[in-house]
Amino acid sequence: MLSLSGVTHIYPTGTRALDNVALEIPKGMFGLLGPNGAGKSTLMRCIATLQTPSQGSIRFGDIDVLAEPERLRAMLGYLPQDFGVYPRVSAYDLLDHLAVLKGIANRAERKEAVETLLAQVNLWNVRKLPVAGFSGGMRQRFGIAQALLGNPKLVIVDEPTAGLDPEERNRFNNLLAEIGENIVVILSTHIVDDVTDLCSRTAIIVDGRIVQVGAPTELIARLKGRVWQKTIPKAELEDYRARMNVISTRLRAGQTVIHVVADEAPEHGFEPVAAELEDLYFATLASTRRRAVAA
Amino acid sequence: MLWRIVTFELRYQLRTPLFLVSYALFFLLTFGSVTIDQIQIGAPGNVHVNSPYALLQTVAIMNVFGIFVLTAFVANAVIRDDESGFAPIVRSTRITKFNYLVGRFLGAWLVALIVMTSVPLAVLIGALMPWLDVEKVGPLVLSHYVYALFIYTAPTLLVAGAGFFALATATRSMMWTYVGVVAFLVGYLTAQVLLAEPELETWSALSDPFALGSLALETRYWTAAERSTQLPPVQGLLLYNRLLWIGVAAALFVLAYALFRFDAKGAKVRKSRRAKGAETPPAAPYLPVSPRADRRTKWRQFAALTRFDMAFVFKSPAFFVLLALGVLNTLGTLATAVESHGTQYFPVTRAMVEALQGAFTLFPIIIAIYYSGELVWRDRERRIHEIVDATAAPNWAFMVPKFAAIVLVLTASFVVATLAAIAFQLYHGYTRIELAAYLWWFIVPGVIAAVLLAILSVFVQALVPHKALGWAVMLVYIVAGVALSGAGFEHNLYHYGGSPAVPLSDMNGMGRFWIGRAWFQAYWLGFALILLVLAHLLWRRGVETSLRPRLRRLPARLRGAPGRIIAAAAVSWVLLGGYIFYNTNVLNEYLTENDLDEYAADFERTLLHFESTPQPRIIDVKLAVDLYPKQVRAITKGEYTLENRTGMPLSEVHVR
Repeated sequence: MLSLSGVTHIYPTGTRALDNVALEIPKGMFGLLGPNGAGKSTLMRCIATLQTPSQGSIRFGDIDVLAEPERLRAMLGYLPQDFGVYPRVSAYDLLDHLAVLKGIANRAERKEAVETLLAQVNLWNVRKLPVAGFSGGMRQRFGIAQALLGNPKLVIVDEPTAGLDPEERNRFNNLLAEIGENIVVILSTHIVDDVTDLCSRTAIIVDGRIVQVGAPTELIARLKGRVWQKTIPKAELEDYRARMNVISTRLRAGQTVIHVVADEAPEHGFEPVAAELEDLYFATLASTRRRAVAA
Repeated sequence: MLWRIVTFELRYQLRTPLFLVSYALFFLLTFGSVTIDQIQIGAPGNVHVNSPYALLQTVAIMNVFGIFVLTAFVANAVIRDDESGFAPIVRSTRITKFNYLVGRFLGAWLVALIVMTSVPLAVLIGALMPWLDVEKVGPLVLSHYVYALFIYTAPTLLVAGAGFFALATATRSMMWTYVGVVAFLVGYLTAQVLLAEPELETWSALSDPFALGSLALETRYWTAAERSTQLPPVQGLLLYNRLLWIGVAAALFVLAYALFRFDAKGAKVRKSRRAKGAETPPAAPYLPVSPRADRRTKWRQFAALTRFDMAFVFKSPAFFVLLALGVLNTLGTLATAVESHGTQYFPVTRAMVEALQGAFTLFPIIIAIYYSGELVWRDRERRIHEIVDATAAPNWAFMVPKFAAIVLVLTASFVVATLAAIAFQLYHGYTRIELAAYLWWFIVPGVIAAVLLAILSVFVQALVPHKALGWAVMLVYIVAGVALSGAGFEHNLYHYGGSPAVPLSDMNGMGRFWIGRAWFQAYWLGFALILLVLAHLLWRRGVETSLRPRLRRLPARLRGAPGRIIAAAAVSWVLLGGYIFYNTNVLNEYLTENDLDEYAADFERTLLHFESTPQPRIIDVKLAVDLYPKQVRAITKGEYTLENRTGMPLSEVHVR
């Protein structure tokens, strides 16, 4: 459905935010994973017609997105990473206004759509309050409501669950999963669990380059039996880092737990663990960084 | 610590585009006035271009304009932390309120002072230019420039800076601070007019924070030679003026200090209104509604956005303040129209309209430039641009309402000014109210000019990567227009929106002069239509600020209606221009002010020696003049009686 090829974007400051990105994104939920500053938002904006990449082409179905952004906008739902609102405008009025802009001009249809959407994202009780006064989670839910307006064929949500509490995040993910069955949904996030829970396909982006693409299960399969775990004293961490391919460290009950990728147990005390998407993500980041250092 | 804050503020503000743009602007303006005869700031008269008198007058007048820049710096210093959300971080450090405020203020004041050093510097450099007439340039005396900077500019910027710093502190709003600037300038100009009587000259000199009045008073009996060489001594009224205003500056700063709350502005606790929305939510799940993109939908989108932009303007307090200032300004001008040097005149509509036109030269320009920036950049400043720009609404549905809102605001201000003028007439017992005359003489030409101005300023804002840059471009356009006219390029065919003046008469109104103007209006409306379509095609969507991608897309977008409209507008523009050129330059002779001056000089040179030729005198005139105002025709019959009173025979009689 959505295909990107050779998409490169260089900001006037010289930053290469996107470097020759090529992606094929079919129907369903697609997760774009990457650390902060990897180029996720720039890529999202390029697809959402809000930024023209320096080079490359983006097509959605038969639409050349860069040449005819208007046609894509007619079937687009977009939730930016961070957005503001007009002061003193209530949730209902703002959603109504955006519904008109999205092409729902019929008054009865619009009323129906706005009301049911507000109920669906659980903002019904506060619909007459100004959005400017909403908490982060409420504002985010308003954001998803406006992204779903008008039967979009392509939904782009940029770090949607940042700032949501676990319950809200759950509800939000359910909503996405529901709509994601028949259309293209692109979800950018640095929360690996969101991708694990929702996405049938995923890509990992680091420093503007796509370094991994595929179904999460396939990707994880590549690491099968190669992830090892050990609890170590914190002081020995640097030593382990120097000796082996440590992809992640985390604290569990105050103890340092490291994950290492290796074909067999690196030394005594390591035990195998089932690879998760997170391991793949960290392994990818680790290897990309090592390559960057070597280069 | 204080010094660190001052230098941080300096470094921070010196890097802003505003600094560079304003420095360049003030330098160029002054440089132009020194080196090009046709550009004049003030009226220094017959003195050297770099004489102390001309220098001080230029500096003092530029200080008046400098207020706008100064305000941007000092208001930014006090507002930006709250706007950027950085305030809690800064204010929870060990910095004291004293260091914070004094440091920020001094830093911003110094930046403004540096900007204003461009004025004496431009005089200094300008006077060295080789093409200047040697007789018009005096010797370079550095102390004059130091005097101008420290006796004139520094105290003036200090008091105005402290005043607007206080205002910004109290309002926490850039907009309200600027409203205050406009109010201050209108008040200043009004006061200067009201205090222009000779017996009030002391008050006039003291009450002028720019010390222009003191300069005029101190030097009024000076000869040209004195004005070219001497500085007014810092004593008497000038000294008191400076001391007075430095005192006022201190008082204003103390006021700002008292007003400023260092602790975070407590969020207003709103009463929960949840109860109001407690009706049962719709039980049905959300069913997607397919959007449409038909003509009707696009008009709906246009209507919705128009409502939104209108509300933005008409609900903003600035609009009402601007309107009030406009009325104030109008009434001030109207008052001068019915009384002059002790003679009373009837407040006839013609006089009212002339006064209104005078009062509304600068006002609409400021409104159009200000609101175009605010409206075009609003969504981005509210950070909702990524959402609205990703919707399917077409570019024109975003752009046209902004232009329409500006036109409507200006129209409203014309109507309100007209009502003020009518009230003024009634107040003076003059009951012959000519609504049609107001409409055709004042409102309609005003609205047409407003349409042209609004289109240009929205077009500029749509292209530039930053609001302030758009404002700067418009400012350069205004200044360049004045400068070009001054330099002898004055044809209305290349002055955007230019049209010949239409003199008004009590007898036959606009006569036939409006016809010439109408051709020019049509010509420029054609051009503006091209700009409008281009603004639609090049409208900025999303986070892009660069123009290049939009330009690349332009040729493909011209296909269809936009291209046809541009083609039609371009053809009519060119045809109208050709017809106008044929009339102004082929059928008639096109003469600039310079040409007319030269003609007058030639005339004098050629005929001066006939001045003393003995001539008969006219001792009696009997004329019967029939005037046909509607046909612009007069038939004169009559006789002059000439008599030779020289006592000698005359060999020749000259008739001209």
